[in-house]
Amino acid sequence: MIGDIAVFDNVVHLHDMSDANLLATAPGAQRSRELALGLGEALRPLHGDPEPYDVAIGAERMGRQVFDHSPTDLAMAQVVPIFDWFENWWAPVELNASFRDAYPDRAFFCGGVDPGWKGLTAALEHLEWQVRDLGAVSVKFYNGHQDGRTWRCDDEKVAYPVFEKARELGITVLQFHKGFPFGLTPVEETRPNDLQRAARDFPDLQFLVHHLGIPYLDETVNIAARWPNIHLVLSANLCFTPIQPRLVQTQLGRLLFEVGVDKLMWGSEAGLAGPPAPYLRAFMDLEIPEDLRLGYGYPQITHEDKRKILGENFARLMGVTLPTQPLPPVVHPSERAA
Amino acid sequence: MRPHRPGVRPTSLAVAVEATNRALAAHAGGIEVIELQDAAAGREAVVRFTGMCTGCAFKPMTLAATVEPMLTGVDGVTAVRALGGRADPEAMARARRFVAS
Repeated sequence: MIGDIAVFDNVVHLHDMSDANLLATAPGAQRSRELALGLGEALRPLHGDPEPYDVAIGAERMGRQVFDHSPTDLAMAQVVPIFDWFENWWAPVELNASFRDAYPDRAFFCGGVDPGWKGLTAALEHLEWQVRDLGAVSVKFYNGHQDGRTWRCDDEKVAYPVFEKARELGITVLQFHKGFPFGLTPVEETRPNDLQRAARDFPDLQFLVHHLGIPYLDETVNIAARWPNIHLVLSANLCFTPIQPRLVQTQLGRLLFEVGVDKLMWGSEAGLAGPPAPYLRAFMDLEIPEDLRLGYGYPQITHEDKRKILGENFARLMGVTLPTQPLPPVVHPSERAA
Repeated sequence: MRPHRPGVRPTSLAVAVEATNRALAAHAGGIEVIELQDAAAGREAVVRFTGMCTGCAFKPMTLAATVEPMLTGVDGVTAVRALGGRADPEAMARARRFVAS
């Protein structure tokens, strides 16, 4: 907790960027991994975590990042079903499920499937396995790919059966990577626009858009403001606060103005982004400066706004009760074994 | 002791909402009143924008220029608040001054 604010981190990823998992001869694989590893190195001075990134990030390493070294109460590990460059996907299913198994009182598992991997039938079977056997409580989608393998979220024959299957399995929160193209993926493959019809056609499901769809910020803000079941996860966006506070102030001010605080959520991207503590500190210190308030009409961000962004909004969607008192320190798997 | 707050006649409020929505219909938008909450000197109408207003960045101006004047014309309604995005209080005050000038 941070004072009286409970922190529910929407997204951490247990990546596997090891040589063993890399499809070294796949087009763009080496370059894409280099770009991702470079991002991790760029953020390292902010948190100082010395661990390497070109490995599989284990459950205990993640547990120490978010629960020991950061004031995180609850966290959701999300699969990254990027199959283009990684044999067992970028953030593998069972590796991310292992985080929930290691910290069952503090962690949640978000599965991930892709009908472009081995077809729709395989995706539906995979989803059922992840929910029924591994306990996934949400699903993450990365529909943007290179080499013509992108599928649209409003495709009635490809995407809708997956959404219907998720609903049948009791999943109500669907999550989408938008913007922030990986490696050399064409940026236009990551536009958020295809979520509009899907959100209209599945009004009982909640659609969470990650990364503000950057560089498609205008579209993302407009879409989130108009569809009642589209929400925004500020995954990685708030990690820029220590480096580019003005950028975050401008984005956040606009979101409070146009979208409203009730639809905004914190996501740390721990793993590649390191322990979230420095980003959380910077966010708690963040204010919307006077010139943005006077010049753009953006409102000041309040303590209550931060409470909603850091935990309450996501907890409400997931039906999770947040702690009201600091939780006891976690016991890590290695300590249990001892 | 709980301060006395004048009541709001539902019929009057409904008439004001209807008039507001006739005005906003020019832009294919509208409002609906979600609830009335206690406010400093009366009651605050909590509204939700509908139709084309929902994603419009001019909502604060519409609130100050159209919705607030029409709803606060109802006896007992002293303030209006819209769900969703919000503007800086100074910006809202500036918009109200502009409308009143």
